[in-house]
Amino acid sequence: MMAEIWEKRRSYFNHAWLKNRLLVGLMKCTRVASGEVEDADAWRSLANLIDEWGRMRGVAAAVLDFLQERIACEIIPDANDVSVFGSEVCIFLMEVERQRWLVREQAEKQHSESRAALASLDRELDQLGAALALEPDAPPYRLQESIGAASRLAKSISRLEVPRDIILG
Amino acid sequence: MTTNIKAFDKSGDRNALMGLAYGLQITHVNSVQELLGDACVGLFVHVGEDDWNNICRCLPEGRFALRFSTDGYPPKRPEGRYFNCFHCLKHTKGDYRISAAEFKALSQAFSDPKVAGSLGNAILPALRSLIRFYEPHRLRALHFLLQACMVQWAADDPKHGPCALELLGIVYLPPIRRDVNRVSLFKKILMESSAPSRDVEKLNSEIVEQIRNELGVDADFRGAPIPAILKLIGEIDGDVTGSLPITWETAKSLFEGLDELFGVRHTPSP
Repeated sequence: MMAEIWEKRRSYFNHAWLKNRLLVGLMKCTRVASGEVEDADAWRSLANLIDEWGRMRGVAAAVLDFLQERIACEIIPDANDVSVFGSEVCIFLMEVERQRWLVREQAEKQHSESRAALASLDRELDQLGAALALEPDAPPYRLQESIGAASRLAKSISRLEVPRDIILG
Repeated sequence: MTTNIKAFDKSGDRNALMGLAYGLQITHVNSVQELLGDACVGLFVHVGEDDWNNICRCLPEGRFALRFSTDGYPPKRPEGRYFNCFHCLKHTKGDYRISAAEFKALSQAFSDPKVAGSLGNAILPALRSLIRFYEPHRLRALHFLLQACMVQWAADDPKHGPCALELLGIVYLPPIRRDVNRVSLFKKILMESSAPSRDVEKLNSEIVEQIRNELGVDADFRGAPIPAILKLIGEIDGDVTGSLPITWETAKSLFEGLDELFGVRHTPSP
Protein backbone atom coordinates (compact mmCIF):
# COMPACT_ATOMS: atom_id res chain seq x y z
CA MET A 1 0.00 0.00 0.00
CA MET A 2 2.85 2.35 0.77
CA ALA A 3 4.19 1.86 -2.75
CA GLU A 4 0.86 3.03 -4.13
CA ILE A 5 0.94 6.20 -2.03
CA TRP A 6 4.57 6.76 -3.04
CA GLU A 7 3.62 6.44 -6.71
CA LYS A 8 0.91 9.08 -6.31
CA ARG A 9 3.28 11.42 -4.50
CA ARG A 10 5.96 10.90 -7.11
CA SER A 11 3.48 11.62 -9.88
CA TYR A 12 2.19 14.74 -8.09
CA PHE A 13 5.70 16.13 -7.80
CA ASN A 14 7.30 14.98 -11.02
CA HIS A 15 4.49 14.99 -13.51
CA ALA A 16 2.01 17.52 -12.19
CA TRP A 17 4.48 20.10 -10.84
CA LEU A 18 8.04 19.68 -12.12
CA LYS A 19 7.30 18.75 -15.74
CA ASN A 20 3.93 20.41 -16.26
CA ARG A 21 4.44 23.60 -14.29
CA LEU A 22 8.05 24.47 -13.50
CA LEU A 23 9.58 23.30 -16.77
CA VAL A 24 6.73 24.81 -18.77
CA GLY A 25 7.16 28.11 -16.86
CA LEU A 26 10.92 28.13 -17.40
CA MET A 27 10.56 27.39 -21.13
CA LYS A 28 7.99 30.10 -21.51
CA CYS A 29 10.40 32.64 -19.97
CA THR A 30 13.07 31.51 -22.41
CA ARG A 31 10.72 32.24 -25.30
CA VAL A 32 9.74 35.58 -23.76
CA ALA A 33 13.41 36.45 -23.23
CA SER A 34 14.22 35.67 -26.86
CA GLY A 35 11.26 37.77 -28.05
CA GLU A 36 9.56 34.73 -29.56
CA VAL A 37 6.39 35.33 -27.56
CA GLU A 38 4.99 38.14 -25.46
CA ASP A 39 3.70 37.44 -21.98
CA ALA A 40 3.85 40.21 -19.40
CA ASP A 41 3.09 37.74 -16.60
CA ALA A 42 5.72 35.15 -17.45
CA TRP A 43 8.39 36.38 -15.03
CA ARG A 44 5.93 36.91 -12.19
CA SER A 45 4.55 33.41 -12.73
CA LEU A 46 8.07 32.04 -12.62
CA ALA A 47 8.75 33.90 -9.38
CA ASN A 48 5.59 32.31 -7.93
CA LEU A 49 6.77 28.87 -9.01
CA ILE A 50 10.12 29.47 -7.34
CA ASP A 51 8.23 30.45 -4.18
CA GLU A 52 6.38 27.13 -4.40
CA TRP A 53 9.68 25.29 -4.63
CA GLY A 54 10.14 25.43 -0.86
CA ARG A 55 7.09 23.18 -0.43
CA MET A 56 7.65 21.05 -3.52
CA ARG A 57 11.26 20.36 -2.56
CA GLY A 58 9.82 18.78 0.60
CA VAL A 59 7.57 16.53 -1.53
CA ALA A 60 10.55 15.47 -3.67
CA ALA A 61 12.63 14.82 -0.55
CA ALA A 62 9.84 12.66 0.87
CA VAL A 63 9.79 10.63 -2.36
CA LEU A 64 13.52 10.02 -2.03
CA ASP A 65 13.32 9.39 1.72
CA PHE A 66 10.89 6.55 1.07
CA LEU A 67 13.27 5.06 -1.48
CA GLN A 68 16.10 5.32 1.02
CA GLU A 69 13.99 3.55 3.62
CA ARG A 70 13.27 0.72 1.19
CA ILE A 71 16.99 0.42 0.45
CA ALA A 72 17.87 0.24 4.13
CA CYS A 73 15.04 -1.69 5.77
CA GLU A 74 12.85 -4.75 5.41
CA ILE A 75 9.29 -4.10 4.21
CA ILE A 76 6.55 -4.39 6.81
CA PRO A 77 3.88 -6.63 5.27
CA ASP A 78 0.30 -5.60 4.68
CA ALA A 79 -2.13 -6.75 7.39
CA ASN A 80 -4.41 -8.53 4.94
CA ASP A 81 -1.49 -10.46 3.45
CA VAL A 82 -0.38 -11.47 6.94
CA SER A 83 -3.86 -12.81 7.66
CA VAL A 84 -3.67 -15.01 4.54
CA PHE A 85 -0.05 -16.19 4.55
CA GLY A 86 1.19 -15.59 8.10
CA SER A 87 3.69 -13.01 9.23
CA GLU A 88 6.94 -14.94 8.77
CA VAL A 89 6.13 -16.08 5.24
CA CYS A 90 5.08 -12.53 4.28
CA ILE A 91 8.31 -11.05 5.61
CA PHE A 92 10.30 -13.58 3.59
CA LEU A 93 8.29 -12.97 0.41
CA MET A 94 8.76 -9.21 0.80
CA GLU A 95 12.47 -9.54 1.43
CA VAL A 96 13.02 -11.57 -1.75
CA GLU A 97 11.09 -8.93 -3.68
CA ARG A 98 13.21 -6.20 -2.10
CA GLN A 99 16.51 -7.95 -2.82
CA ARG A 100 15.61 -8.44 -6.46
CA TRP A 101 14.54 -4.80 -6.71
CA LEU A 102 17.82 -3.60 -5.15
CA VAL A 103 19.85 -5.31 -7.87
CA ARG A 104 17.48 -4.91 -10.79
CA GLU A 105 16.84 -1.20 -10.34
CA GLN A 106 20.32 -0.40 -9.03
CA ALA A 107 18.39 1.32 -6.31
CA GLU A 108 21.27 2.86 -4.39
CA LYS A 109 22.80 4.37 -7.51
CA GLN A 110 19.45 5.71 -8.69
CA HIS A 111 18.78 7.15 -5.26
CA SER A 112 22.09 9.00 -5.04
CA GLU A 113 21.72 10.32 -8.59
CA SER A 114 18.28 11.67 -7.77
CA ARG A 115 19.55 13.27 -4.53
CA ALA A 116 22.32 15.00 -6.50
CA ALA A 117 19.84 16.18 -9.14
CA LEU A 118 17.54 17.53 -6.43
CA ALA A 119 20.40 19.43 -4.78
CA SER A 120 21.46 20.82 -8.15
CA LEU A 121 17.97 22.13 -8.96
CA ASP A 122 17.75 23.58 -5.48
CA ARG A 123 20.94 25.59 -6.06
CA GLU A 124 19.83 26.75 -9.51
CA LEU A 125 16.41 27.91 -8.34
CA ASP A 126 17.97 29.67 -5.39
CA GLN A 127 20.14 31.72 -7.74
CA LEU A 128 17.32 32.26 -10.22
CA GLY A 129 15.03 33.42 -7.42
CA ALA A 130 17.66 35.87 -6.21
CA ALA A 131 18.13 37.22 -9.76
CA LEU A 132 14.39 37.63 -10.22
CA ALA A 133 14.12 39.49 -6.92
CA LEU A 134 16.67 42.01 -8.19
CA GLU A 135 15.27 42.36 -11.72
CA PRO A 136 11.62 41.20 -11.68
CA ASP A 137 10.91 42.21 -15.30
CA ALA A 138 14.22 41.47 -16.93
CA PRO A 139 15.46 38.15 -18.26
CA PRO A 140 17.42 36.65 -15.40
CA TYR A 141 20.64 34.80 -15.75
CA ARG A 142 20.90 31.03 -15.50
CA LEU A 143 17.54 30.26 -17.10
CA GLN A 144 19.09 27.52 -19.25
CA GLU A 145 20.94 26.08 -16.27
CA SER A 146 17.67 25.86 -14.36
CA ILE A 147 15.97 24.12 -17.30
CA GLY A 148 18.86 21.66 -17.47
CA ALA A 149 18.72 20.94 -13.74
CA ALA A 150 14.92 20.57 -13.74
CA SER A 151 15.06 18.22 -16.75
CA ARG A 152 17.74 16.08 -15.13
CA LEU A 153 15.72 15.78 -11.92
CA ALA A 154 12.52 14.94 -13.85
CA LYS A 155 14.32 12.24 -15.82
CA SER A 156 15.96 10.84 -12.72
CA ILE A 157 12.71 10.68 -10.73
CA SER A 158 10.84 9.16 -13.70
CA ARG A 159 13.26 6.23 -13.61
CA LEU A 160 12.66 5.42 -9.94
CA GLU A 161 10.75 2.34 -8.91
CA VAL A 162 10.02 0.95 -5.46
CA PRO A 163 9.44 -2.74 -4.67
CA ARG A 164 5.86 -3.99 -4.58
CA ASP A 165 4.60 -4.23 -1.02
CA ILE A 166 1.26 -5.94 -1.47
CA ILE A 167 0.95 -9.65 -2.20
CA LEU A 168 -2.78 -10.14 -2.53
CA GLY A 169 -3.95 -6.77 -1.23
CA MET B 1 -7.29 6.42 -43.54
CA THR B 2 -10.14 8.62 -42.29
CA THR B 3 -11.07 8.38 -38.66
CA ASN B 4 -13.81 9.87 -36.57
CA ILE B 5 -11.26 10.88 -33.94
CA LYS B 6 -9.63 14.11 -32.92
CA ALA B 7 -6.65 14.54 -30.67
CA PHE B 8 -5.24 17.04 -28.21
CA ASP B 9 -1.73 16.80 -26.82
CA LYS B 10 -0.83 19.38 -24.20
CA SER B 11 2.88 18.90 -24.88
CA GLY B 12 2.56 19.36 -28.65
CA ASP B 13 5.42 16.86 -28.92
CA ARG B 14 5.66 15.42 -32.42
CA ASN B 15 7.47 12.39 -31.03
CA ALA B 16 4.55 11.47 -28.78
CA LEU B 17 0.74 11.41 -29.16
CA MET B 18 0.71 14.27 -31.65
CA GLY B 19 3.12 12.43 -33.94
CA LEU B 20 1.15 9.19 -33.71
CA ALA B 21 -2.05 11.10 -34.53
CA TYR B 22 -0.47 12.82 -37.55
CA GLY B 23 0.62 9.42 -38.81
CA LEU B 24 -3.04 8.39 -39.10
CA GLN B 25 -4.24 11.77 -40.31
CA ILE B 26 -6.11 12.37 -37.06
CA THR B 27 -6.84 16.07 -36.66
CA HIS B 28 -5.05 17.72 -33.79
CA VAL B 29 -7.01 20.51 -32.07
CA ASN B 30 -5.78 23.31 -29.83
CA SER B 31 -7.72 22.74 -26.64
CA VAL B 32 -9.91 20.35 -24.68
CA GLN B 33 -12.80 22.80 -25.07
CA GLU B 34 -12.50 22.50 -28.83
CA LEU B 35 -12.58 18.71 -28.53
CA LEU B 36 -15.61 18.75 -26.27
CA GLY B 37 -17.41 21.13 -28.63
CA ASP B 38 -16.73 18.88 -31.63
CA ALA B 39 -18.93 15.99 -32.75
CA CYS B 40 -16.15 13.42 -33.28
CA VAL B 41 -16.75 10.00 -31.73
CA GLY B 42 -13.30 9.44 -30.28
CA LEU B 43 -11.03 11.81 -28.34
CA PHE B 44 -7.36 10.91 -27.95
CA VAL B 45 -5.81 13.11 -25.31
CA HIS B 46 -2.62 13.77 -23.42
CA VAL B 47 -3.82 16.13 -20.70
CA GLY B 48 -3.37 17.11 -17.04
CA GLU B 49 -5.75 16.16 -14.22
CA ASP B 50 -8.02 19.23 -14.49
CA ASP B 51 -8.62 18.75 -18.20
CA TRP B 52 -9.18 15.03 -17.75
CA ASN B 53 -11.72 15.61 -14.98
CA ASN B 54 -13.45 18.10 -17.25
CA ILE B 55 -13.65 15.53 -20.04
CA CYS B 56 -15.02 12.88 -17.65
CA ARG B 57 -17.63 15.35 -16.41
CA CYS B 58 -18.75 16.66 -19.81
CA LEU B 59 -18.30 13.91 -22.40
CA PRO B 60 -21.80 12.86 -23.55
CA GLU B 61 -23.01 9.35 -24.14
CA GLY B 62 -21.93 7.95 -27.49
CA ARG B 63 -18.55 9.69 -27.45
CA PHE B 64 -15.39 8.12 -26.03
CA ALA B 65 -12.13 9.45 -24.66
CA LEU B 66 -8.80 7.68 -24.40
CA ARG B 67 -6.09 9.23 -22.28
CA PHE B 68 -2.43 8.70 -23.08
CA SER B 69 0.66 9.43 -21.05
CA THR B 70 4.39 9.43 -21.73
CA ASP B 71 4.79 6.56 -19.24
CA GLY B 72 1.42 4.82 -19.79
CA TYR B 73 -1.22 4.23 -17.12
CA PRO B 74 -1.75 1.31 -14.76
CA PRO B 75 -4.99 -0.67 -15.19
CA LYS B 76 -7.96 1.58 -14.40
CA ARG B 77 -11.70 1.14 -14.58
CA PRO B 78 -13.55 3.30 -17.11
CA GLU B 79 -14.37 6.79 -15.85
CA GLY B 80 -16.89 9.45 -16.89
CA ARG B 81 -20.61 9.87 -16.44
CA TYR B 82 -21.25 7.16 -19.01
CA PHE B 83 -18.14 5.07 -18.27
CA ASN B 84 -16.80 6.25 -21.60
CA CYS B 85 -13.38 7.55 -20.58
CA PHE B 86 -10.47 5.11 -20.74
CA HIS B 87 -6.71 5.01 -20.08
CA CYS B 88 -4.06 3.51 -22.36
CA LEU B 89 -1.47 1.25 -20.73
CA LYS B 90 1.22 1.87 -23.33
CA HIS B 91 3.80 4.65 -23.25
CA THR B 92 3.78 7.31 -25.98
CA LYS B 93 7.56 7.70 -25.81
CA GLY B 94 10.65 5.65 -25.08
CA ASP B 95 11.55 1.98 -25.38
CA TYR B 96 8.09 0.66 -24.49
CA ARG B 97 6.33 3.06 -26.84
CA ILE B 98 3.03 2.06 -28.42
CA SER B 99 3.55 0.71 -31.95
CA ALA B 100 1.93 2.19 -35.06
CA ALA B 101 -0.14 -1.00 -35.46
CA GLU B 102 -1.40 -0.80 -31.88
CA PHE B 103 -2.26 2.87 -32.28
CA LYS B 104 -4.12 2.06 -35.47
CA ALA B 105 -6.12 -0.66 -33.67
CA LEU B 106 -7.11 1.88 -31.03
CA SER B 107 -8.12 4.46 -33.60
CA GLN B 108 -10.26 1.92 -35.44
CA ALA B 109 -12.05 0.96 -32.22
CA PHE B 110 -12.59 4.54 -31.04
CA SER B 111 -13.88 5.67 -34.45
CA ASP B 112 -16.81 3.32 -34.26
CA PRO B 113 -19.41 4.15 -31.56
CA LYS B 114 -20.69 0.56 -31.56
CA VAL B 115 -17.24 -0.91 -30.97
CA ALA B 116 -16.15 1.76 -28.49
CA GLY B 117 -19.49 1.41 -26.69
CA SER B 118 -18.78 -2.26 -26.00
CA LEU B 119 -15.45 -1.52 -24.32
CA GLY B 120 -17.05 -0.93 -20.93
CA ASN B 121 -18.13 -4.58 -20.88
CA ALA B 122 -15.41 -6.46 -22.71
CA ILE B 123 -12.11 -5.48 -24.22
CA LEU B 124 -11.56 -6.56 -27.82
CA PRO B 125 -8.73 -9.07 -28.34
CA ALA B 126 -6.74 -6.57 -30.39
CA LEU B 127 -6.83 -4.03 -27.56
CA ARG B 128 -6.13 -6.28 -24.62
CA SER B 129 -2.53 -5.23 -24.20
CA LEU B 130 -3.54 -1.57 -24.48
CA ILE B 131 -6.52 -1.13 -22.15
CA ARG B 132 -7.05 -3.06 -18.94
CA PHE B 133 -9.36 -2.49 -15.97
CA TYR B 134 -8.00 -4.76 -13.26
CA GLU B 135 -4.74 -5.36 -11.43
CA PRO B 136 -3.62 -8.98 -11.81
CA HIS B 137 -3.64 -9.62 -8.06
CA ARG B 138 -3.45 -13.34 -8.21
CA LEU B 139 -0.63 -13.46 -10.70
CA ARG B 140 1.27 -10.92 -8.64
CA ALA B 141 0.86 -13.16 -5.58
CA LEU B 142 2.03 -16.19 -7.56
CA HIS B 143 5.03 -14.19 -8.69
CA PHE B 144 5.91 -13.35 -5.08
CA LEU B 145 5.61 -16.99 -4.04
CA LEU B 146 7.68 -18.30 -6.94
CA GLN B 147 10.42 -15.74 -6.30
CA ALA B 148 10.73 -17.14 -2.79
CA CYS B 149 10.66 -20.73 -4.09
CA MET B 150 13.55 -19.82 -6.37
CA VAL B 151 15.50 -18.58 -3.35
CA GLN B 152 14.93 -21.95 -1.69
CA TRP B 153 16.12 -23.79 -4.79
CA ALA B 154 19.10 -21.49 -5.06
CA ALA B 155 20.07 -22.21 -1.46
CA ASP B 156 19.27 -25.89 -1.13
CA ASP B 157 19.30 -27.59 -4.51
CA PRO B 158 22.70 -28.23 -6.08
CA LYS B 159 21.12 -29.26 -9.38
CA HIS B 160 18.80 -26.32 -9.97
CA GLY B 161 20.37 -23.80 -7.60
CA PRO B 162 22.64 -22.04 -10.13
CA CYS B 163 19.78 -21.66 -12.62
CA ALA B 164 17.46 -20.39 -9.88
CA LEU B 165 20.04 -17.82 -8.83
CA GLU B 166 20.49 -16.68 -12.40
CA LEU B 167 16.74 -16.35 -12.87
CA LEU B 168 16.48 -14.33 -9.67
CA GLY B 169 19.28 -12.03 -10.79
CA ILE B 170 20.52 -11.48 -7.26
CA VAL B 171 23.97 -11.90 -5.80
CA TYR B 172 23.15 -12.46 -2.13
CA LEU B 173 20.33 -14.64 -0.92
CA PRO B 174 18.11 -13.06 1.74
CA PRO B 175 19.28 -14.08 5.20
CA ILE B 176 15.81 -15.14 6.28
CA ARG B 177 14.18 -18.19 4.71
CA ARG B 178 10.94 -20.01 5.24
CA ASP B 179 9.50 -23.07 3.58
CA VAL B 180 7.21 -21.57 0.96
CA ASN B 181 7.23 -24.35 -1.59
CA ARG B 182 4.05 -25.85 -0.23
CA VAL B 183 0.94 -26.72 -2.14
CA SER B 184 -1.20 -25.15 0.58
CA LEU B 185 0.23 -21.69 -0.18
CA PHE B 186 -0.31 -22.06 -3.91
CA LYS B 187 -3.83 -23.27 -3.27
CA LYS B 188 -4.51 -20.20 -1.16
CA ILE B 189 -3.66 -17.98 -4.08
CA LEU B 190 -5.19 -19.89 -6.91
CA MET B 191 -8.17 -21.67 -5.55
CA GLU B 192 -9.53 -19.98 -2.48
CA SER B 193 -12.10 -17.90 -4.34
CA SER B 194 -13.28 -20.84 -6.43
CA ALA B 195 -16.16 -23.01 -5.32
CA PRO B 196 -14.97 -26.38 -3.99
CA SER B 197 -14.95 -28.83 -6.84
CA ARG B 198 -13.36 -32.15 -7.64
CA ASP B 199 -14.06 -31.62 -11.30
CA VAL B 200 -10.59 -30.62 -12.47
CA GLU B 201 -11.71 -29.40 -15.86
CA LYS B 202 -14.39 -27.20 -14.35
CA LEU B 203 -11.95 -25.87 -11.77
CA ASN B 204 -9.36 -25.13 -14.46
CA SER B 205 -11.78 -23.26 -16.65
CA GLU B 206 -13.06 -21.25 -13.67
CA ILE B 207 -9.56 -20.22 -12.65
CA VAL B 208 -8.51 -19.39 -16.19
CA GLU B 209 -11.64 -17.30 -16.59
CA GLN B 210 -10.89 -15.43 -13.35
CA ILE B 211 -7.29 -14.77 -14.38
CA ARG B 212 -8.40 -13.65 -17.83
CA ASN B 213 -10.76 -11.22 -16.15
CA GLU B 214 -7.97 -9.87 -13.99
CA LEU B 215 -5.79 -9.38 -17.03
CA GLY B 216 -8.42 -8.62 -19.63
CA VAL B 217 -6.82 -11.19 -21.93
CA ASP B 218 -7.69 -14.25 -23.95
CA ALA B 219 -6.52 -17.64 -22.78
CA ASP B 220 -3.98 -17.73 -25.57
CA PHE B 221 -2.66 -14.25 -24.91
CA ARG B 222 1.12 -14.50 -24.92
CA GLY B 223 1.68 -12.16 -21.99
CA ALA B 224 -0.32 -14.36 -19.62
CA PRO B 225 1.35 -17.68 -18.85
CA ILE B 226 -1.97 -19.52 -18.74
CA PRO B 227 -0.60 -22.93 -19.90
CA ALA B 228 2.01 -22.82 -17.12
CA ILE B 229 -0.69 -21.96 -14.58
CA LEU B 230 -2.80 -24.90 -15.74
CA LYS B 231 0.21 -27.17 -15.32
CA LEU B 232 0.65 -25.84 -11.80
CA ILE B 233 -3.02 -26.42 -11.00
CA GLY B 234 -2.69 -29.97 -12.30
CA GLU B 235 0.20 -30.56 -9.88
CA ILE B 236 -1.34 -29.04 -6.82
CA ASP B 237 -4.77 -30.50 -7.45
CA GLY B 238 -3.32 -34.00 -7.43
CA ASP B 239 -1.89 -33.48 -3.95
CA VAL B 240 -4.34 -34.11 -1.15
CA THR B 241 -1.88 -33.58 1.69
CA GLY B 242 -1.25 -29.93 0.85
CA SER B 243 2.41 -30.35 1.72
CA LEU B 244 4.20 -31.65 -1.38
CA PRO B 245 6.44 -29.19 -3.21
CA ILE B 246 5.75 -28.16 -6.77
CA THR B 247 8.28 -29.33 -9.36
CA TRP B 248 11.19 -27.30 -10.67
CA GLU B 249 10.02 -27.55 -14.30
CA THR B 250 6.58 -26.16 -13.52
CA ALA B 251 7.91 -23.42 -11.28
CA LYS B 252 10.63 -22.34 -13.71
CA SER B 253 8.31 -22.04 -16.67
CA LEU B 254 5.71 -20.06 -14.70
CA PHE B 255 8.34 -17.88 -13.03
CA GLU B 256 9.81 -16.88 -16.39
CA GLY B 257 6.34 -16.11 -17.74
CA LEU B 258 5.45 -13.97 -14.74
CA ASP B 259 8.80 -12.15 -14.82
CA GLU B 260 8.00 -11.24 -18.40
CA LEU B 261 4.43 -10.25 -17.57
CA PHE B 262 5.54 -7.94 -14.77
CA GLY B 263 8.34 -6.45 -16.83
CA VAL B 264 11.11 -7.61 -14.50
CA ARG B 265 14.41 -6.87 -16.12
CA HIS B 266 17.65 -8.57 -15.24
CA THR B 267 20.61 -6.23 -15.07
CA PRO B 268 24.12 -7.58 -14.79
CA SER B 269 25.43 -7.42 -11.27
CA PRO B 270 28.35 -5.05 -10.71
